[in-house]
Amino acid sequence: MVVSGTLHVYVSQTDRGELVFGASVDPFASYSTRGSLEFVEGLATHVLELMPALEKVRVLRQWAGLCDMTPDFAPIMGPTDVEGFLVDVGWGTYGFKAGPVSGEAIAELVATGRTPELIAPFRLARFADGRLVGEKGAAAVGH
Amino acid sequence: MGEAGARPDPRVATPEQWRDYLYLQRNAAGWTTESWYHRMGCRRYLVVERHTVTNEIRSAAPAESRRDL
Repeated sequence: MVVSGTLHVYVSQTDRGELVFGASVDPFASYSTRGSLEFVEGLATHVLELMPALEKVRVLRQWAGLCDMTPDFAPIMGPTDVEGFLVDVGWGTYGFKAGPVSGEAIAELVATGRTPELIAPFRLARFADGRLVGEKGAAAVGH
Repeated sequence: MGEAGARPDPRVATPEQWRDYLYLQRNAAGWTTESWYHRMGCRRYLVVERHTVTNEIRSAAPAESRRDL
């Protein structure tokens, strides 16, 4: 796998030899399971900047999934107003990477009833308090 | 810029109303009315009706023509 944080693209080769390219999210809300034309064109441009030798390859197919982005691009972790109901959601594009450590923190919260310092800024009430998380969380392919 | 909605009156709006206006979106899978900023073009603010599944655009109008939003 080759990843470029600057070009917002990653390239991975499958066992069949095909190349899989991935990138970021559309800059607007969409339920489509295809990228927009502008997005696919931008992705192709970035792929060729990274690997110019691929200029003759044909695109076989493209698809898109849904990303649950929060207003400040950071996840929501912690208790809610409902007793015993905790959330660990809104992970957008990088849940796989941060899942283990967030699970550990949530487990500590469940076990002790106290919110670990590590996840305290990510509480649900931050939207009501106007204290958003300032640093955008994102995968290596940023937003 | 996201879904367009009626802006609360800043003189009387409660923190909860501001929160709802800023952060709570319908996220409908269908027709939605949004505010757009045409940054790479005429640099005007627009109100756009867009389908969030097909990305079809039904209408676009200058924001000043929609004072209700």
